[in-house]
Amino acid sequence: MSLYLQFLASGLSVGCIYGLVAIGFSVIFNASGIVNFAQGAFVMLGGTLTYVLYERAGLPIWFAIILSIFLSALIGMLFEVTIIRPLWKRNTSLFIMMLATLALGVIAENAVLHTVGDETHSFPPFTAGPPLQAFGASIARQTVWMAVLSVLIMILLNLLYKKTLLGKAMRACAVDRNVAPLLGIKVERMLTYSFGLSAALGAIAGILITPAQYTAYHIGLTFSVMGFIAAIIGGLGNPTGAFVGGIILGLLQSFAILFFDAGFKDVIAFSILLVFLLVKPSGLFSSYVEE
Amino acid sequence: MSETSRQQLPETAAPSVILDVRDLTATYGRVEVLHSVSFHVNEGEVLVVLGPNGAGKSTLLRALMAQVQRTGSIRFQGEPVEKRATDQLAGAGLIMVPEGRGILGPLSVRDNLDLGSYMRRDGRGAINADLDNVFTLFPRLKERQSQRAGSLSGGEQQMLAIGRAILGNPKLLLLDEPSLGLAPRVMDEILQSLEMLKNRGLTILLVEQKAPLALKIASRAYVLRSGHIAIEANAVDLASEEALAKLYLGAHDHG
Ligand SMILES: Nc1ncnc2c1ncn2[C@@H]1O[C@H](COP(=O)(O)OP(=O)(O)O)[C@@H](O)[C@H]1O
Ligand SMILES: [Mg+2]
Repeated sequence: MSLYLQFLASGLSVGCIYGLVAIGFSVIFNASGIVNFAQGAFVMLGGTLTYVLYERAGLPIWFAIILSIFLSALIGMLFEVTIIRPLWKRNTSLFIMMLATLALGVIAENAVLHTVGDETHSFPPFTAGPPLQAFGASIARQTVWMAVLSVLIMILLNLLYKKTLLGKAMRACAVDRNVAPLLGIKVERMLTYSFGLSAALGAIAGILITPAQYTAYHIGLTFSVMGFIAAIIGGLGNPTGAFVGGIILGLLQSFAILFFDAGFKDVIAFSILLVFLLVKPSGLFSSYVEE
Repeated sequence: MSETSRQQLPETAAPSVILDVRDLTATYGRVEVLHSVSFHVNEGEVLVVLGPNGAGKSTLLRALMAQVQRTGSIRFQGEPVEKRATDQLAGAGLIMVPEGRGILGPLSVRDNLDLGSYMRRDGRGAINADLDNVFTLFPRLKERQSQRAGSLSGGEQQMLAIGRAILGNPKLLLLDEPSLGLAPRVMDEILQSLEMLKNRGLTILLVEQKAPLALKIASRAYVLRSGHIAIEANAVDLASEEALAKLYLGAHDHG
């Protein structure tokens, strides 16, 4: 029983991280129709930047965290302004823009490889102390942080989209790109914000998971793939759905490890991807653009 | 009435011109759809542009809003605005209700209205006053505030589209075929509210295929045919059956 609980907790917390990455996919997809394959690179950047600022530059951990989220958001927005927007204005196909995001991922990976190194890095958990004991299972404190903060961020994001004028304007761009400017909304600016927001979400995911695991220059691709699968499960067009998709994926992977073998977790993930692409490509939850 | 510094004509106190369009040409790709159209809108009037399906009425409005490729000169409140983007034009008070209404279906009625005031910088008080006005004009919108906008009936959606435009504090309201898909009774209701807005001093450029409806509230009218302005007339002159018949038979004269 306690073993199941242990795997449940670990599946949930990793699922929350996938969920954050998946939300990042959906934020940009909704605003533009682009699937941003650099999403995982921001997970890597968030963890790596925090490590560099904390361990190497000696900044206090909380400051290092906030600064690296901020820097990641900035990189995301810069990418949109300098690369995506010119392509967009030229009416380039979405496929080309997705290739550009893939290129950004590779560039970020190599930049980190050559400046920070090829070792794995980590930094201390948010709170020190022995694992928490519950019903005979022992759960690391960072696991709790991962779950709680992810859910909190998902709630905040929902408030942004449902309650603030800025969030509603972003949704307006997603629903009808021709109507939004008639209301005075600058569609391009909303796209920039979406890239910034999505990069920040990726960075937060990386910062949450690094103390529990590690970060390294090459982890981006895995998170891009897992986040994308999560988003496909939940529905790319629906941030909350994408988050739930992440949790489902995390749980399935965790129990695949428990029942079969660690090697099965990717088999499970990709099998689910194929099943959803074949059977329900729109995901479990309807898009807030089409609902 | 207006702060624009147009020279008044000597014989009568000429109304000031809020929108002055010269040689407006619009193209889709390589196809020219609007050919050197010139017209103006006077402050406080309801100007109607009539014309059969495919005449270029929607294109005309899209050209004004910088939504299609176009050339020509457009002066709005005395200022040249050809170089401005759609969102800047909206910010300046040129607000369009597009053909098909442009409702954001997945968002609530209230969200749609709130987004109408997105670009306003004149304070919560003024916006709330306008919201009250819209709810007085269209009580049904108030009842359905929290409903998904896409679940409204066609008539209600048209009311929402007009209400949302009013919340943008328009100097000139552009309406593209509000009658499209609406029952005559519902359209009468919409016309009544437009009449009220006109009486409050709002300037309206109304594009319609159904001439008798539009001429009920119009001060002046243009007839657009195949991308040219075929007729300009006072609305009363077009309202007679004979004049309308002529219009549809394709007479070209200047009233
Ligand atoms: N997006 C478009 N691309 C190409 N041609 C268009 C487009 N929209 C309209 N047209 C053409 O332009 C002409 C005028 O159309 P439109 O302005 O919609 O007329 P109206 O609103 O008077 O019915 C028509 O011949 C129509 O086929
Ligand atoms: Mg039309």
